[in-house]
Amino acid sequence: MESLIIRYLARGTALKREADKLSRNDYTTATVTATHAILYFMSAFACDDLSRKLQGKLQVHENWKSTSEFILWVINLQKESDEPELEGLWYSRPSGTL
Amino acid sequence: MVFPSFRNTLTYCSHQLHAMCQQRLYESELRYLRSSYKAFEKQRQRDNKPSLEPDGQFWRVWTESTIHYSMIAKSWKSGQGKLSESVLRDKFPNTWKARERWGAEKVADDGEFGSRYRLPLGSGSSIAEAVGFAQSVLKEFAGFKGINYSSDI
Repeated sequence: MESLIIRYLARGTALKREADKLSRNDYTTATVTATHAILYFMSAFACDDLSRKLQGKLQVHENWKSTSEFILWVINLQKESDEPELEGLWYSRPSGTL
Repeated sequence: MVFPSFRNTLTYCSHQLHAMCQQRLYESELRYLRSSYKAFEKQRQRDNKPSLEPDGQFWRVWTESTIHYSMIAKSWKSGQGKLSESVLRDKFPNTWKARERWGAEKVADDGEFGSRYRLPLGSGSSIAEAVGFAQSVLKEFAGFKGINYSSDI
């Protein structure tokens, strides 16, 4: 399971970097790439949770917290520029992304 | 074919993934709170005190857990409201056809990337199901938009 976690994290990290670069000029492809990265992170952390559970340990809180934050980044990225602000903190567009 | 706007598809899929993450956070916090409570109770008995004395960390996690609890409901509502069964059936036919039905045996274990899923996703879905569902939506969406998307692992 350890090798699976490492593989998923490596792939997720590479895709996240790619999404970050794409987000400067191509929101659509950046979002697809970032969502793909999220799927790798979620798979990796689900494996990690299971592994820790088998050892009688608590989950690493930071794993899901950081993934949650990354998803919010993706949600903000998808927001169309002409839309009104919705639901407060979820749609606060970072400065310089218009 | 009228395809939902970008935001109306991947955004709502992201909200569902967000709900899953918030749920994991919440479950983790509940485990911590239960474990801490037991430790505080033992301490109380040892010291023969009339009441528990939780520390600052306990209250911080307790407060965050209430926030995450409300976020779970909010994210599910946002995700399922617009990416409804009818939208999935009409706009993502392959994803819809590939679904398993609720009531079926367990469909996937965590860590099975791109595995089978039951729709609609909900609080009883596993991470593997959420990943399988989102991957299928991504694949169809990317195909429609002409984006090169590889689901290799």
